[in-house]
Amino acid sequence: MKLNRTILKRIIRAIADTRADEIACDECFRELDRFVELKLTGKSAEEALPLVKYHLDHCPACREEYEALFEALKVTGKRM
Amino acid sequence: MLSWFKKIKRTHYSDEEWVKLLRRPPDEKAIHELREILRRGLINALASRIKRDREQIAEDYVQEALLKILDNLESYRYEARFTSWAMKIAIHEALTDLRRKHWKDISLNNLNGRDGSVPIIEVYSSEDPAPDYETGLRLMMQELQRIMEESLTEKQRLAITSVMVQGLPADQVAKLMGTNRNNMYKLIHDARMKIKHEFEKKGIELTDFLDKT
Repeated sequence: MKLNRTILKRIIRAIADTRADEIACDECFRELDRFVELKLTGKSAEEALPLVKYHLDHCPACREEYEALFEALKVTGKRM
Repeated sequence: MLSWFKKIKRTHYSDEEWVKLLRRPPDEKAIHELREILRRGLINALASRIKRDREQIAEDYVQEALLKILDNLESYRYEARFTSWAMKIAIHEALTDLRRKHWKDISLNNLNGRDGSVPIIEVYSSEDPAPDYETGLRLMMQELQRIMEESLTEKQRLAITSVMVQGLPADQVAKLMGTNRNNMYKLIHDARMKIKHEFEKKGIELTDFLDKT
């Protein structure tokens, strides 16, 4: 299997960034609504929930759900 | 964005009222209102993912999500708005299903290293490689290969290879391996920790490599 440098760099970055206190997907999901609300109200979600931020930066599936939830709540907030 | 909370507060039930109204048998008006909120949110959230029949597809996901929300009312913790919590469930249901459909054709045969072996990992040479850098890179890849063979379990090797090297979606690989996304994340996390410690023991600085690329 041959890797290009972009993929190799991503793998090495993921290994180098590994932390002992990472949370997994279920815990991230529990906090995701609160995280998005903080973002939408202009507060620092990253400071309040740093492990959620870390997880979202390293888990593509959770990241996708975060971005979709952000888009959804943005529009449902507007018309209420 | 700052007015977002005010807008959502003004016209809706309180979080406590939502929960009370949706307890079985649920209030029809509350169901109707929640359905409409979820529908609008999902249509917007799915805009970049679905181009055709989005409204109908969103309706179907709303229906499935409503059942899940009603079944899980007692797990709502009042830490975010009720409607944010409900939307989170709808988004999760929809995207999990979309990923499943998109990747429906992958099977165990697509997973490298499914027999427990470690695939030989090589890197394309750059067009104008600096000799020292190329040598360092080769040694690092050999070390990664060795760590994967000697320090990881068979499941960890399969998970790392499929998700991190091949780039397959974690939830679909998890399903093929008879587990779920949460456990897959933990499996890969444990593997990353092991690899990182092994590199540290050898005195290899991964950030040096990243700085030079």
